Amino acid sequence: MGWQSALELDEAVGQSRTWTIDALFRAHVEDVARIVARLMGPQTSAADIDDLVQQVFIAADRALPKFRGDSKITTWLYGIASRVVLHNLRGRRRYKQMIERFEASQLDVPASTSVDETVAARESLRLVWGALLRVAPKKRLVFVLFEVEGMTAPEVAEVLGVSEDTVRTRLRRARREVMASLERSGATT
Amino acid sequence: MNRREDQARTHLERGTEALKALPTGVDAVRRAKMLQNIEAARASRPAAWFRWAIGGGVAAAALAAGAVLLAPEGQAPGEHVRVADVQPTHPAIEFAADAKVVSATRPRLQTGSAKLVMPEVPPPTEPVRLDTPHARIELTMGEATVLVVDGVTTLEVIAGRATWIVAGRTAFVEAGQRVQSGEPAATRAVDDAAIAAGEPAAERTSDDAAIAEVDGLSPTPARSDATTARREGEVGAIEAAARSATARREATAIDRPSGAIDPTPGGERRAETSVGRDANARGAGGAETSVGRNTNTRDGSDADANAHDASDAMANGRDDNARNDLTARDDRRSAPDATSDPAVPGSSAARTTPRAPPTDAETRSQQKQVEAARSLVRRDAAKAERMAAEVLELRPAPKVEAGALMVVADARRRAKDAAVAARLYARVAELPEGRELHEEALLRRAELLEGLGDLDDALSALDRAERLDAHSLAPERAALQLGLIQQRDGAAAAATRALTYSSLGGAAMARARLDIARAVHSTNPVAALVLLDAIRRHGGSRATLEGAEALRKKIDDR
Repeated sequence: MGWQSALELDEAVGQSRTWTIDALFRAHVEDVARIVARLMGPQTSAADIDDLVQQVFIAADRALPKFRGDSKITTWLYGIASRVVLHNLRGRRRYKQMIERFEASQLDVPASTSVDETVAARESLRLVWGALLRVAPKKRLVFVLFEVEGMTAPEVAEVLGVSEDTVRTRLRRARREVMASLERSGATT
Repeated sequence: MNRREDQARTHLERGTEALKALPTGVDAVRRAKMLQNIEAARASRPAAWFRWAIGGGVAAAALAAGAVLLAPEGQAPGEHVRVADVQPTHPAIEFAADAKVVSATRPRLQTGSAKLVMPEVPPPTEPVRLDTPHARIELTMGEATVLVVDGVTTLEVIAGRATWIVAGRTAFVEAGQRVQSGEPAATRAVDDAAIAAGEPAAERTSDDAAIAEVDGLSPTPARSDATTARREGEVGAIEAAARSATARREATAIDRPSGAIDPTPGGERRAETSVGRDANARGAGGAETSVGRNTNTRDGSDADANAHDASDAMANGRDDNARNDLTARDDRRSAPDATSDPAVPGSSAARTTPRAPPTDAETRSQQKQVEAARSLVRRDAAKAERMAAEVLELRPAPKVEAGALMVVADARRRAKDAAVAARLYARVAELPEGRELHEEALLRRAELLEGLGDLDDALSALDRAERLDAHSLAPERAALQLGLIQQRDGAAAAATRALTYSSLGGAAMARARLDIARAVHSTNPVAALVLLDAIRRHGGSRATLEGAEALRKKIDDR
């Protein structure tokens, strides 16, 4: 289920619904796993993603009594997921580990029509995510939510709890840095 | 928009699409496990005061008292610390009953990283035993990092002595020093004592070939006890540690055999590098000879020719290890080593000169050059090959070496030099640090071998690729395999195999299915119809789909 359909489901179910953590998990684990996987990047193992997803739902469980339904439950969950991921990315050592894993990982991309296309897609993925890893996590988050998840700026702002201007600024800078990095990577050719 | 910016945009669009297309689903088993862990975390949630009442102080006291501290990586000290005599962090991690362990963990964690901190390395008589389905341990002096990862079924640590039984990954530990970790494809049991006696014994659950290779190695002097085995497509290193750190240091100082382990800081990388190099050099060493020669001709018009020579020689350097020898098809292979004059870079004498490992900065720079070469190889293969050869001559880090070799192989393939390219791909597929390239390298090799008429070796390469933990190119591999089987064993055999690939889609698979269906439709119309159904289900190019429908109609009419 994409995040748009998750939002639609929210609306259908109604914000007044009293969520239990079990129900929340069953309804949204796919969405949270997808968001976490995309925010963490293709080098992240399924086990690491599961661990983070667990953290998201454990945090949600703690915070659920305080959830007043001011925002959509998915927006609220994505906000938690973003904070859990950001927390996980803190620290130079973790960053270094992430880079090492990325460099050592095999980036599997969905099969394409030809070997060349598949290889090209993997190469682009490697370059783009390599460039994104050099972008500060907060900006990377905005980039991924906007460009990959397809959220709008107001939606990203709501998820992250920042203003739309901040989202736009981070997005602009993230794009600029990614492009610069990609251009640099092709500069010597 | 200039060309560079244009390229960057293309990468950005394609990379973003690839990110979007990454599989992110959670299967039922993972869901159930997560839910179980969440429930467990809810049940055992500590009181708010807990983290303040017990924490780093307790951990320090426990360490001082000789206990072992096991804490998840990245967790702040004092957060959810529990103290127990025997307390695994993971249900599957069991310590020997007499091990004193302080577990600092979040009970909810099923997987993740953990740090095992020991005040001192337990003597061999008091082993710390970990049984975990997913673990890798890196041990440093007095401190071990337990990385909980996929792929390990059993792990036994006897600190101070290296006896490990690991499936999926191996790590080798000696006296509390981190030595090496790797990822063989199958279970190994390394008998330390046997290796120490100069007769390495290895058991593999899935492939006995390793035993022969281990046996075939020259054991190092008794003081060293280090032995390395390499095998196609795997890290393949079996290294046993010395009986003591002192012996290790002496051994490595006196005689650094292939894969010998340097316990000094940074020694690990040197050891790993030497493992790869040595295995490659065993072939003939011509690679390094030619690459070295290229150093001196960077400014000359011979550079291109030398880069090609380097490719040949690099490919030749693998001959001993490559199972699929193409000797008869390539005259270049018989070229002798250029010289034994130590003054000539890359000569057999000069190769014995030790070379300092590249610094991090050098490695980054080399990596960039390889990436640049890789992006250039489609447009200007010769230049890309020269760039990669330049990197190779600098004896780069193994990972960089793998990338550079891949570029050279691609360049040779594009130059229609199939035999050399095939051998280079085989080399890439043997470099453990180039894991991400193995699948593609083996597929390319198989394609080239098919062109050379070497169907058996092409199928062998594909079989190896199938055993890898990479499936990006699975449809292309399967399609090629079907074609090869059809050529070698006939359409009926290919059809039988094709029916096992029901879940694979893609244009290449559709074409292969159609070819086979056309070949068997008269003798086995049922199989043909199943294959045509698969084409309809998975899709394909318009021509393939039309062809499939036409054939279906023909079968139906009949």
